[in-house]
Amino acid sequence: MRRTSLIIRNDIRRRLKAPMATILFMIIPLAMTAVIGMIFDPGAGGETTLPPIKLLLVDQDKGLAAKFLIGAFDQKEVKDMFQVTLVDAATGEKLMKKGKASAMLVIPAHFSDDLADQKPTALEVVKNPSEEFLPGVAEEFAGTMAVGFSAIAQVFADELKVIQSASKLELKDITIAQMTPFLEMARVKIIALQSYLSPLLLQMKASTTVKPGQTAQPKGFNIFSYIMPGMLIMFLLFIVEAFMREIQNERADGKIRRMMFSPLSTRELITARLFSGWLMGVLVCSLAMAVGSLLFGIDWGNLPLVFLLVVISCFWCAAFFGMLNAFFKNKNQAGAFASPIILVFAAFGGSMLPLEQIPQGMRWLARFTVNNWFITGCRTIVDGGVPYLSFIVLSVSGLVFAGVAMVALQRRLST
Amino acid sequence: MKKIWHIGFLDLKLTVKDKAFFFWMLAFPMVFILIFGNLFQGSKTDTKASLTVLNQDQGKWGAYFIDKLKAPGIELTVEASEPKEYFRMLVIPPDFSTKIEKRAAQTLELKKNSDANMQAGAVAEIKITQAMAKLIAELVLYGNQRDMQAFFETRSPYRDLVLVKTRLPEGTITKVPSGFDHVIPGILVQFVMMMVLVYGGISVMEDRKRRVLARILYSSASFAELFAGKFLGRVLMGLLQSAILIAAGKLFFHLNLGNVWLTGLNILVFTLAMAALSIFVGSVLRKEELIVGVSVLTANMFAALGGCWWPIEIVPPAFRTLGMVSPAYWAMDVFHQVIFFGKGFDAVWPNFLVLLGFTAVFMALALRFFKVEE
Repeated sequence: MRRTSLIIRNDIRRRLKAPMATILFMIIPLAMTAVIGMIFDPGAGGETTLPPIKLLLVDQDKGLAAKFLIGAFDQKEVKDMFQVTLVDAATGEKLMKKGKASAMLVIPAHFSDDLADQKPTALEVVKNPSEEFLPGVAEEFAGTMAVGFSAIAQVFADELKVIQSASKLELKDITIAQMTPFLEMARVKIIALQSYLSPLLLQMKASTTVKPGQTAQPKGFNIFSYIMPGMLIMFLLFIVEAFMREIQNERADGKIRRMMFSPLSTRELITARLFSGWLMGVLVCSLAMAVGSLLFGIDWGNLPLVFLLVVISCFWCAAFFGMLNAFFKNKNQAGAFASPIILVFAAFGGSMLPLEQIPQGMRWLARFTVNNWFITGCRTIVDGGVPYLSFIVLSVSGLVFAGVAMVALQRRLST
Repeated sequence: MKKIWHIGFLDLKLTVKDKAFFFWMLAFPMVFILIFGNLFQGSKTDTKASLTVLNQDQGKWGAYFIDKLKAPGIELTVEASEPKEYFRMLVIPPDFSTKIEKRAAQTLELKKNSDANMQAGAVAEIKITQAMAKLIAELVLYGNQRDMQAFFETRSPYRDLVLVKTRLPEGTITKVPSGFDHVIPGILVQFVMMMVLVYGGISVMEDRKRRVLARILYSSASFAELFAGKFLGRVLMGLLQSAILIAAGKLFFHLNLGNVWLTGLNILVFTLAMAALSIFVGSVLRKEELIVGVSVLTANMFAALGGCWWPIEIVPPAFRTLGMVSPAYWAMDVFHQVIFFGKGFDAVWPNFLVLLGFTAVFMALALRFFKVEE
C-alpha cells in the first residue's frame, strides 16, 4: 500500500513539474466553449438569434401594394430581422452575384394591378447560393407575405378595383357620391376583420416535448453549460490517455524493468498507475469545471453529484486507457490508435455537436461512448435529477475495463 | 531541387506509412462529412417538415383547417389519438368547430419534440401561421353577420393570388447546392490544418531530437535544401489530404468544385501557409503532447472562426470580422466564390495575396526558430 501511494505521489508530482501539456488540454475545452458559446449565445429570451438578414428589395411595381409590402419591413420585429436595402434590378443582380446579400426580393411589375384584377402574380426571391440558412428564412418570410397579400386582395377585391381606377383619374373627376358605396363596403369588412383579428381568432402556442427521462431546455438556459461538458470530457480523455501512455514510455526506456528489481509487484505498479491517471483526471476535471463556473457562470447543479460523476468518469477513462495500453505493443501504436478512438468517441458521443443533431441512424453509437454518459449525466444533474444510468453504466464498464487492464497489463509487463 | 524533392517525398512516405494514416486522412474526415453533411441536408425522416395533426375536433372545421395546412414542403399526418412518436404535433381541440362558429378566439397547441430538426420546425410553424391566415381570410370574406352553418356551401374559397418563385443569381450555379457541397470544403480546410500541423510539427521535432536533421546536413544537402525539403514534405501532406477528400467527395457525394484549377490553387496556397506554420510549431515546441495540443487548439480555433464548422452567415458580425485573422476564413471565402458564384481569378486574387501574406509571416517565424539540433 505504501509503495503504491509512493508511486501515485511521484506520478502526480512529475506531472505537476511539467504541467504545460496538461494546462493546454485544459485551456482547449475552455477556449472552444468560449468561442462556440459566444457565437451561439441565446438572447435574453433563451432563443438563439440570427444576425440581421441582408435583404435587397427591388420594386418593379411602384404601386400601392408594393408600397404596403415595403412598409411591412418597417415593423419593429421585421426590422430587427432584416437589414433591407432598396435597389434597382440591375444593381440588385450585381450585388447578388457578388454574394453581398442573403437574398433579393423582387416585387414584379404590375403587382398592384394584378392584385386589384385578382390575377395571379409572383414575388421572386433570389437566394445567395453560398448561404445555407438565411436565404431560406427570407423565402419563408416572402411566403407569409404572399399569403397575407393574397388574403387582403381577396377580402378587399372591390375596394382595390375602385382604388385602381381612381388612381388613373384626376381628383376633380371623382365625386364623393361615387365613392360612398365602396367606403361603406370597406367599413363593413373592416368591422368584420376586427372581430376576427382583435383578439386574433386563431393563435398558436408552441411547447417543447421530451422523451421520458429527458428534459426540455429550461428557462435561464446557459449555453456554456450545454457545451462545456462535451468539450471537457473530450479533452479529459486526451489528458488521461497521455498519462496512461507513460506505461509504454517506461516500458520502452526500461524504467519498469528496473522498478521490478525492487520489492514492488506488477499488481502494485498497475494499481498505482490506474489510480494516478484517475486522480489526475479528477484534479484536472474539477479545476476546469471550477474555471468554467467562474468564467461562464455555469451552474453545475448538485455539486456532490457532479463530483461523483467526475470521479466515476475519470475512473472509466483511466481503466479504459489502462486496458488499451495492455493491448498496444509500443508507444507508437498507442499514439496512433488512442487519438482516433478519442475523436470517434467525441464525434458520436455528443462532444462535437449536440446528440440531438446527430443523424438518427448514428445516434445509437453514442451509448458506447463515455462522452454520452458524461454529457447526459451533467445535464440530468443541472436539471435537478440524479443520473443513475450514467453512474451504473460507467461504474460497471469501468470496473470491467480495470479488471481486464489489471490482468492484461500484468502479462504485458512481465514479458 | 532533386535533394529538396527527395527530403520532401521521404517525409510524405513516412507519413503514409504511419499506422493511423488511413484513419486521419480518410476515415475520420469521412465521419465528419457524413455527420455534418446529413445535418445540413436535414434528418432523412424530417426533411420535409413533417407535421402530425391530432384532430380531436367534433365538427367539420378541424378537417377544413387541415386542408388549409396542405402546402409544398410540409408532410402531414392526421391522427385521431396522440401517437407515441412525432417530430411536432399540432393539436386541434374538441371544441375547435364550436369556437369557430361562435367566432371566439382560441389557441392551438404545437408540441415540438426536442430531438426534431429546428429548421424543419420553423418551416412547420410558418406553414401553420399561413394556414391560419388563409382560414381567417375566408371567414372575413364570408362576413361576421352570416350564419356559419351555411359557410361550406356559400363560402368564397381563399386563392393563392401571390406566389413565391425562387432562383439563384444569374451567372452563378444552376443547381441548388447540397449539404455536402457546403460541408466538404470546410472539412477539407480543417483537416489540412490538423494533419499538416500535427504530423508536420511532430516530425520536425522528432527529426531534430533524433538528430535526423543534423545527419541530413552531413550529406551534400545544404541548410536551405533541408528547410525547403521539410517545407515541401508538409505541402505534399496537405495536398495528399486534399486530394483524398476531394476524390471521396466526388465519388460519394458528387461534390461540385467549380473551377477545378482555381480550387486547386486555393488548396495549394492555403497548404503553403499551414506547412510554414507547422515547421514553426515543431521548431519551438519540444514535446509531442504540446505540439498536438497547440495544433489541435490552433486548427480548431482557425476552423471555428473561419467558417469551417458552421455557415459563416449565422455568425455575429464581430466574430465574422475576427475570423479574418484565420487563414481558413480566406480559403473558405475562395471556395464560396469559386464553387457557388463561379468566380474567376480576378475575384479571388486578393484572398490568395492574404494567404501568401500568412505564408510569409509563418515562414519568417519558421526560419527564425528552425534548428537542426536541440
